[in-house]
Amino acid sequence: MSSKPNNQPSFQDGPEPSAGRALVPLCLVIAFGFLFYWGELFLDKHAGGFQQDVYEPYRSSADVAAAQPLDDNGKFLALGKQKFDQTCSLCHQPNGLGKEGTAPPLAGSDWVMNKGCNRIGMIVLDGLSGPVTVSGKEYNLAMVPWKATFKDEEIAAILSYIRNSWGNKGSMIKAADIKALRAESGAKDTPWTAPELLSRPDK
Amino acid sequence: MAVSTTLTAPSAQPVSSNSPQITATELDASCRWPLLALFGSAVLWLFLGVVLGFINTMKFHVPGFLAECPCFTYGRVHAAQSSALLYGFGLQASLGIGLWLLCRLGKAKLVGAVTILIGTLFWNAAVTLGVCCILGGEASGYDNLQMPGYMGPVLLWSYLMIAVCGILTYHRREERESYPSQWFVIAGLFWFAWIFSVASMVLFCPPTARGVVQASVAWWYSHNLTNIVLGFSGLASIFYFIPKILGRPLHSSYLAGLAFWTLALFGSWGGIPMGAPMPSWIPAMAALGTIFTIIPLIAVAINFCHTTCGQLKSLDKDVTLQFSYIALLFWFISSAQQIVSAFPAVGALTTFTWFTVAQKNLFLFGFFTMASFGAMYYILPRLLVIEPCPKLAKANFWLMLLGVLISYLGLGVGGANQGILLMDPANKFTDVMRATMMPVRVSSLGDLMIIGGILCFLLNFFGMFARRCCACCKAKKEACK
Ligand code: HEC
Repeated sequence: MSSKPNNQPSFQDGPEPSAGRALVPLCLVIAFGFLFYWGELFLDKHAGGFQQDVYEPYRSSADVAAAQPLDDNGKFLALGKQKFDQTCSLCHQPNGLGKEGTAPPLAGSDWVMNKGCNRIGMIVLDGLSGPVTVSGKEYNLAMVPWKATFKDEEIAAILSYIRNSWGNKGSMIKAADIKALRAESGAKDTPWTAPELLSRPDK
Repeated sequence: MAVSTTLTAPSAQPVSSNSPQITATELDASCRWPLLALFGSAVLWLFLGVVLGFINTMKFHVPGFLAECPCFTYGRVHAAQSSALLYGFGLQASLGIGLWLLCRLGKAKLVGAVTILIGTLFWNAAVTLGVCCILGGEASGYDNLQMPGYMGPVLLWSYLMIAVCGILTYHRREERESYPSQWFVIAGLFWFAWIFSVASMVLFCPPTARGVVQASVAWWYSHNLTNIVLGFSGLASIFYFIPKILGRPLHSSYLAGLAFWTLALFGSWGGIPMGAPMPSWIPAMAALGTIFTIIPLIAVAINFCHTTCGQLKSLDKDVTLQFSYIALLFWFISSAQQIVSAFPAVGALTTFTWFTVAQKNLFLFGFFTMASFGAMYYILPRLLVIEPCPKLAKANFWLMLLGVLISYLGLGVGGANQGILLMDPANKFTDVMRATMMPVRVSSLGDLMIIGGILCFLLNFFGMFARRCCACCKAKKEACK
């Protein structure tokens, strides 16, 4: 008789496990489809448009841009946008495309993108009436004067804004330029006509 | 014969282990020494790790404890503890279990026993050196990758020595049809080699990454190491032992496949908390990946509900089964908690509180360690051809179970409360911290029980080993007479 430790224990070892072939329940697959759909919504909300400059707590590039501190130019343009959205956009539309029968477009307008404000400055100060050709298209309407409403700086800001939005490219307008135009226009109380303006040099 | 029939017959007939070629005993004998080396060192590291962890816990109660010695300051001990637990214990245990599963399920003898032994030797040497470096103040500063970067090549090389033998064993398998556990094991072997080499290259080889890339790679590595590499290993043994011991086939290999692929695909994105200082799409993708792990969670749940239905009575029969069931349960709880915390509204409360620590500890001790214990209670007696002490095994089980539960509930409840208190700016930070003292004390009690449980396992293991040696000596002496 051997001693106890030599008495080798017999381990029962059943067969190795096997795997059945039951299918994945269909409702589960459908539920996962919904889960993926929900996942898209989740990313829409939280992934910041997959932009590399969007960090928490911002939600989109626009949020980030809005939160940036503005330099002087930026502040000037922001003032211009604010005034434009309050007044001019009623006729010229917030996107600057104008409206048939109300006002011609500012976006892409050859008037707006003149070298300077010698002509459009006067339009804003004293208004415009009679036939006018904007970007090759004829209009015959009337625009009211804004002399009394806006200060020089505000008009300069509005013009700078419309000259640098919706794809327009133009120099910034200074308050001093508008001041000079205001002095020149003096007590003029009739709107300008297109031929009158065109006789003024483009500067 | 076994080869041809199983190839042509995809139906899942249980294949008899009394295959004419190789018996289970022969298979076990082929892995004896490499596995004993892996398991023995793993268990020692585990014990060292939890003891180091407890030193740190003590610092919460007695801040001056071991404070004069720079080696035992909180940061260093924490780094040393996580390295000991993950690299010393976690990876070695998962390698050992993985190799054994590959032998058993593939009906192939272990390839390259000597290579594995040498690999284990180098691995342990590297981890020892790494932990010493950390205690000496050389920690890398990346969570879960604390060992200094220059240990990387040694670690990777010795890991590969072992992993390649595993792959070769799988390649030589006689049972061609593979079982889900094998997928998990093989994927885990590749996964660690992949993430470790990438993380080492990006974080340690000049020019080292900086900023967002650095942080996201570190988070990615740390999450994948625990959730995928250790997670796969734990799942591999649960998928094997529960059907094996119940003597019932796994319900569905398709559900297992679904769980495997979705876990590999989505489970690996996670780990980056909402509000991390990086472009929001990165944490958003991480959160979404984690939320998508609801798919493997449900797939595993259905699979095991069907596999075990009506069999819960046999729970107290077998210690491996007990450990596997509880490990599976804790995997569910910890994964579910991870998913819930991934929702931004919840994450805002719980990030940087004890709540996340509770979840991570539950994963490591409740799930991975318990699953490994279960596996080792099955494997070790067969390697040593000797029974474990049932009383110690029982004590081990209950101490672990209660310890994990107490520690988890303490930290979980305390952490949730901490998160809620922190949201109110009227609460002073120090007051909030003071409010967490009681939960931390409760969890320390749980930690002590876990240490006790691990000690039981250690004693059981080395007791078996000693008894085996005595038996061998006696047998030799008798033979001499
Ligand atoms: C009541 C509607 C109305 C408002 C408000 C208005 N405009 Fe006009 N604007 C017109 C009309 C109509 C014309 C064309 C007049 C014509 O046909 O002679 C015009 C023409 C112009 C032109 C030249 C043509 C072009 O499209 O380039 C400019 C520049 C201009 N407006 C700028 C402004 C600015 C700047 C403001 C805000 C301060 C403004 N407008 C506000 C109706 C308006």
